[in-house]
Amino acid sequence: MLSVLDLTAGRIVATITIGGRPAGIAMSSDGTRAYITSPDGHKLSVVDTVSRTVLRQVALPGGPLGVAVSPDGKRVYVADWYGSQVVVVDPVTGTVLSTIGVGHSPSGLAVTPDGRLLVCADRLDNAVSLVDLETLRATAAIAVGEHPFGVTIDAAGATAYTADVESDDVSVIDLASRRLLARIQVGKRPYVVALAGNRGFVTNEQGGSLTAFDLASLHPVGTVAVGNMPEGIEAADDGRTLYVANWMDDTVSVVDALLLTVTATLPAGDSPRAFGTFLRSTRQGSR
Amino acid sequence: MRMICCLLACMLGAQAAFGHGSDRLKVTETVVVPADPETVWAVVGDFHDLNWDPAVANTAGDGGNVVDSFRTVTLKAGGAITEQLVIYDAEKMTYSTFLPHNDPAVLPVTNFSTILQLRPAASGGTEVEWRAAGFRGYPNDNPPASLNDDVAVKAMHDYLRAGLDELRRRFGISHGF
Repeated sequence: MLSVLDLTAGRIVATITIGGRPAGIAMSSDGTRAYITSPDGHKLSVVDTVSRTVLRQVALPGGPLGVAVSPDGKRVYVADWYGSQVVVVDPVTGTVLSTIGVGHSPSGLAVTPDGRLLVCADRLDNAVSLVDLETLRATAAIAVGEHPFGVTIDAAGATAYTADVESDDVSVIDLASRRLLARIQVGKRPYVVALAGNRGFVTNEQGGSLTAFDLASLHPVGTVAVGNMPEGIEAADDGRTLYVANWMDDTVSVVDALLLTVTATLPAGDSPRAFGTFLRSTRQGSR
Repeated sequence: MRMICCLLACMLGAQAAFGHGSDRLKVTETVVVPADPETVWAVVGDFHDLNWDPAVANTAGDGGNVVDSFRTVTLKAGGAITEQLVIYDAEKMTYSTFLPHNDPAVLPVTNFSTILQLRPAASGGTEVEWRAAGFRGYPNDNPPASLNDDVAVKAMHDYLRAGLDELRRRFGISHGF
């Protein structure tokens, strides 16, 4: 199931049947499409977020989990968690355009804002692959912490952040020089990073918290207690509000990124994962 | 002029366990007993003492309920698990544990974690909620029958239920439940 929460009203306004234990999500840049992976159902679902309907489902090999979409919305990239490949899907026709070899158990994916580079967390290799999206080939592998899961790229397309589950840290990668800049010690079993203002925030799945770190100094600046077993996290356009899916509690925590406080806890569906980008902007009066 | 309001798409896991996959699984069990929360917490609130649990042969730990400390729980059924304390809040009467490494032969669950939470029950007495989460014992696709999702859910359910049933025996059945 996919739950749609109206964040102004603070409640679930729709649920959409997906099937196959959905886990990953990528929102198109215009917010009109959501791409949902179901590792158990071996498929990618294309959702029209305006009509709240499933437009099509694409059967994919292995365990499709991490998902990202190109800025122009023409390609969707899906990582095969059980294998070592990223599948490129045309979301309009539902055809598989290409398959890209990466490291073992690719997990989180992120695309730079210019659409030219894909960063893939190769979980079992303790590395990220950089994939050139013109040639559709992996061009580099960079060692990070142990078992990187989520990948996040900043708005400038300059820096990538991985949450390294087994080593309890966040790896910071300079994409131009292809260098690991730092590993920031965070809480237990970090899951994925979000960026808000001049801070990064990582969900610590064990301990029910976020660790906030300064993007300039790359040092932790505080923690925020959220719900139990937080997974997906994303910052809103205001650069100040974070939304966190608490898998264990079936809730969403709303967090003030400046004050490091939880401002609201909203009901979510059963076991929200929200692994990827899940926020959609709407204009007042529109749906 | 964006961001007047926004929508959150939020994933839902499966309601029931079925045969395959490597999704994290969770189980919640509760009991209401006719004793006040302080009395119940005095029995169950020490991370290093799980000896109230009938499934447990003994618990070895450093004491003190300090986050990051470990306890080794020897199970009557055989084997032991070494769990880490990840949250401890005596005021809220809750603590959470995590099992970083596990032999699936002892407990057919990986990344096993638990949350114990006491609350005053609406009808008086105490509601004891004990929750567990984890992945099945076999991490890849197509698990053997002995290490699939159903087996993991049943193991977590039975583990929680044995402890809570013991509290019911110890404190009695709450009126109205």
